[in-house]
Amino acid sequence: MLPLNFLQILFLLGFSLPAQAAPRPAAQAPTEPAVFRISGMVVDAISGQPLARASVSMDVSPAAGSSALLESNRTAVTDTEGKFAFPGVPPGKYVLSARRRGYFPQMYQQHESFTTAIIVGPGLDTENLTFRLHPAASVSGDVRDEFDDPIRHAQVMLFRENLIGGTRRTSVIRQVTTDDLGHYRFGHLAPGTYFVSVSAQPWYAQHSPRVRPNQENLNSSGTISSFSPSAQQGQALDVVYPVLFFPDANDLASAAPLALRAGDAASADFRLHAIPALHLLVRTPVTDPSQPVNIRVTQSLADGREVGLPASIQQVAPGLIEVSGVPPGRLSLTQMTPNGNATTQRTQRVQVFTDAEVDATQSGSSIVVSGIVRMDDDSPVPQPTRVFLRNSATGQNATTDVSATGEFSFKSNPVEMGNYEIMVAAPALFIRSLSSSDVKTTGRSFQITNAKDVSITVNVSKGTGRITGLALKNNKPCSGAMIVLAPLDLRSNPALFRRDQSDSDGTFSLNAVVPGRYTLMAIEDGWDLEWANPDGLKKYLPGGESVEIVPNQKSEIKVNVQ
Amino acid sequence: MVVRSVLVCLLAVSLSLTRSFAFPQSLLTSTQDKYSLTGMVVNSATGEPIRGALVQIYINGQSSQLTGPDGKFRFDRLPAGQTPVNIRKPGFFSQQQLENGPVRFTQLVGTIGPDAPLLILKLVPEGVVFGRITAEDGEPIENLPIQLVVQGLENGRKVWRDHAGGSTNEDGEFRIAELQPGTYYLSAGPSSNPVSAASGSSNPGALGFPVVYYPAGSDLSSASPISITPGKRLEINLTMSAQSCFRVTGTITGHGSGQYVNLQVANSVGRHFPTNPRFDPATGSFRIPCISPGAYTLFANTQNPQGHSLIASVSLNVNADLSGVHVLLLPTANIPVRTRVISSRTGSEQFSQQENYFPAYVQLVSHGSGIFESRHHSQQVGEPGSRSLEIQNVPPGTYSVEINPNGMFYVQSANSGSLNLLESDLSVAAGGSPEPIEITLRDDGASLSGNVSLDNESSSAVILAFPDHSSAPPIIQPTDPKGSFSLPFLAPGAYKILAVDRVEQLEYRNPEAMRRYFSHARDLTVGPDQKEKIELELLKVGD
Repeated sequence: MLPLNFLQILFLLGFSLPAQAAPRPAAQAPTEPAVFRISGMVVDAISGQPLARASVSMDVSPAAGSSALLESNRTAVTDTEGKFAFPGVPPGKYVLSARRRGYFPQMYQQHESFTTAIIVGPGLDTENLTFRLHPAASVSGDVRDEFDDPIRHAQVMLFRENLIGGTRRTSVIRQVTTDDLGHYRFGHLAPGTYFVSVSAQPWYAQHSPRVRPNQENLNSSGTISSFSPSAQQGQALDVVYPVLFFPDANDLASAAPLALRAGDAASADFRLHAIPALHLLVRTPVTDPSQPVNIRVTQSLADGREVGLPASIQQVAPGLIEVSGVPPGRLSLTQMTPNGNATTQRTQRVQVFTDAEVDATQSGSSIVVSGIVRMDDDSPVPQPTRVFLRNSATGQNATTDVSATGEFSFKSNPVEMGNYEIMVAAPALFIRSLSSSDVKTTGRSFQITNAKDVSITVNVSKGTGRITGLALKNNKPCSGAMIVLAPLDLRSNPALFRRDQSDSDGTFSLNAVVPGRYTLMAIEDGWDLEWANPDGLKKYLPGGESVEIVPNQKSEIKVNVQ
Repeated sequence: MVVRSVLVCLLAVSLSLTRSFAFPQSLLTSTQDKYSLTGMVVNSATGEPIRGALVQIYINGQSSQLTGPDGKFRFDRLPAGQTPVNIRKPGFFSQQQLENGPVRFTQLVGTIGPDAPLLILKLVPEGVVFGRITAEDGEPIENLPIQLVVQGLENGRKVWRDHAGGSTNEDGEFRIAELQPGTYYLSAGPSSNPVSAASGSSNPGALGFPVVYYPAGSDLSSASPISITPGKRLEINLTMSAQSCFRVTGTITGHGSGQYVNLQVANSVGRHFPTNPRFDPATGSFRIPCISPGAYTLFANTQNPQGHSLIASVSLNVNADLSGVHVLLLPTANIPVRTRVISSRTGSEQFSQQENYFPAYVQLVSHGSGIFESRHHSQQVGEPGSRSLEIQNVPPGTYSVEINPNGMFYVQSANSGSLNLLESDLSVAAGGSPEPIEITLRDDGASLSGNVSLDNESSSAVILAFPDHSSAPPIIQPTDPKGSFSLPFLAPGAYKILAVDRVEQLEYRNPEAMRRYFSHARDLTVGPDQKEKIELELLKVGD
């Protein structure tokens, strides 16, 4: 089963928000109040040795809601023989998880976000479970400067490469700061591929502006004639550290991956070199002087992850701002103009290698995406409904409300040219297609190729289907198998795929399935499969079951494990 | 060249070092920029030069430099004059950082001119406490809270303060740096979840690590002080034994349905513990998974939709699993403050007429059951045009009432009903609506001025005037660098007056600690509108 928060996961996947996972049918209520036992042993997954002092937690399946969580959440600590037991468990569906020093927190038979839930009831064996804990990996290291002095309070980020929606994406999973020795450590890591970055500022840096805000800098037309830095002491200290990815790269693309296996202790040391800070002279539209324009400088580290840079901002003259203390590279300059009680933001992406003038009077991100959400039965759009706009390249996203008549507009988040995806967050709605006379649309994405505002029609349908089923191996229920529901056209849209892991009684469920024709497959040891890649999945198709999903209907299917 | 400390006295003003130091214009300009400021930064503990320290001067604008490998710096082409000098380096404190406080602000000043010798500047190295926490079987204890506690003086009273903290890593290790020289106390624990199954499966109890004060005490009074001297690296390793810990469950009522309630557990002296309480807004039930035997107070607080605080405290005596604990949230008190001024000139009473002006502000100070001080300030409430003064969201407890008149007034009386707040503490009950605090101010105060003879070591003094007629805190006023002072608007009455060098180190709210100083104090009685001039000798705190 998939016990994690649906919204979170589905948003990552780029799905429209499906109906809330319908609660499973309660286990047949016995006439007498029967209780059962969940018991087992926690062992090291590699050595098989029993593990004492592991904390095993038992939660009812999340569908039951938070109050049930508090009442039923129980924790047991394993004894010297690694054994744990939960006596007096009422029939139901439970998720087991365990944590211990030296191991990363894991659910029972966890694969990605899936676990084998324990089904408790008459005739079901929930004793003598073997809970295999995989040892944790760690990454640690020291951050030093060019004088070999430790850099304290440096921000260290750990990125993990994940299979999300069947494709690989890298995102920040944790963040720590270095101690007084410049040391950092990430423990309790699951095996996987990681990257590490460090952002810091030289503690002694002095970023004073170079252009003084007076009339001498302005010619008669009110524009600055040239960018002439005033002679200034202490420019030797006007320095920055560029963001550094292990071992010595300035961006994620050229960083070295750390492939960690269970139990690995990787070390990643950094040496930061201060380089001269850049000064940017930014021309902005001239605004009411009583409403000063501010500029936020950020740098994109990875998919959707921006870090703020401590740049100093000084208004030199109306419509002219000096940004001091930034590193060379790709930067985002976001102008924030007060507009009544709200603030208008316009983001301009620049790539700078030297001191430069930036013309932000016609900001690159001035394209407004707006449109209408149209229900296929012409009914009003349920409230609240939100629509998300995601830049496919940077991962940056914005969100706005959809009115009952379907209108939406991203007017407070203008964008630049590029490829974008649309997502709709509302219960039981899914996007059938996009259409627009302004841009080319493909599935849920569209491409903006010229700097004109875009109007999009988002065609949505109500009603999704649901599959429950049983995974069988040699005609016996099989637990822990990967269940994949694939659309007939494997290349059409990864958002149509659904997956699960079969529970201890072999059952599984797939929720919020977009109506259509699919192939259902159960694959043992299939967790390394790039299931959204048609070539990887093709050989399992003949062994699958063909299903047709219609809205608001539940299908019951048995499938043989391959 | 001379280096000296200039003492600038400030009351309740925080100064930015770089910007607020105004120099006479004559110092900023000069016709001859031909001098140099040279010097060296050294480690105060070892005398070794410090490479890469930042030196900043403020003459002809700001100039900054890092010291070289020999710890030396040199600023050229400077006019003769004086400049503030700031020095900084991670891992070190400047003397000024260590000395400056709310009533003291010293600034290192360098003098530039002919025949200037090398400027030797000292940085004080930080202290570090580090170590490892293990269970009796040698297994490192992970994720255990570590806290350093300091005893300090705040407003003339001894208070405990949590200074810095952290938690142990996977190897049971902790490390706390950036410690100023001083005396600290270290606590480890408690673990907020069961860490171990009780031996023998017949006993279903859980085990956790209780709080331990270094070296082995269970409370602060049995803790040993840890002395951190400049540059000290102190290793503290502790072995902890798991004890039975118990589960506390119950329900909270009195809050809006579905509203979240914050829960905190404090021990008998008011220290808060991380206990990982869980609260379910839907049912109002809460659970604390693992708490060591002992006496605690469970605090709960939330806000109602109108923004008013609700609060509750329940005593817990934990020696077994506790269930069915009921916590009833009650509104905190809002205490109105009414002020009136009696003008001696006209003899008439005059109520505050001006919008947004109140002749006095009030603070309630709680020392409660604990050792941590808490303060509640009066604030303006109501719509413009009909504003009044109120102390809001006061939890039940006993408070001393401190009144700070604005301008040229003194407090003649302060009452809550028939209670004289100049002599007695104020008790605030749970869920009640307390009587207003009524304050009468007068403008015919006495005025006292005078001089303190300063010695070479002290560049300033602070005057304390203790009223004999009330339990109110003393009036505190720093002298100017020459030792002159003036205390206008004194309430008529008898005072003990003294001048000290370091008020921040004086426990002036403790009569016992003050006895030795009072024997050197000047007794003085002043009447309305009386002007008095006195000479005071400087008392050294601690001598």
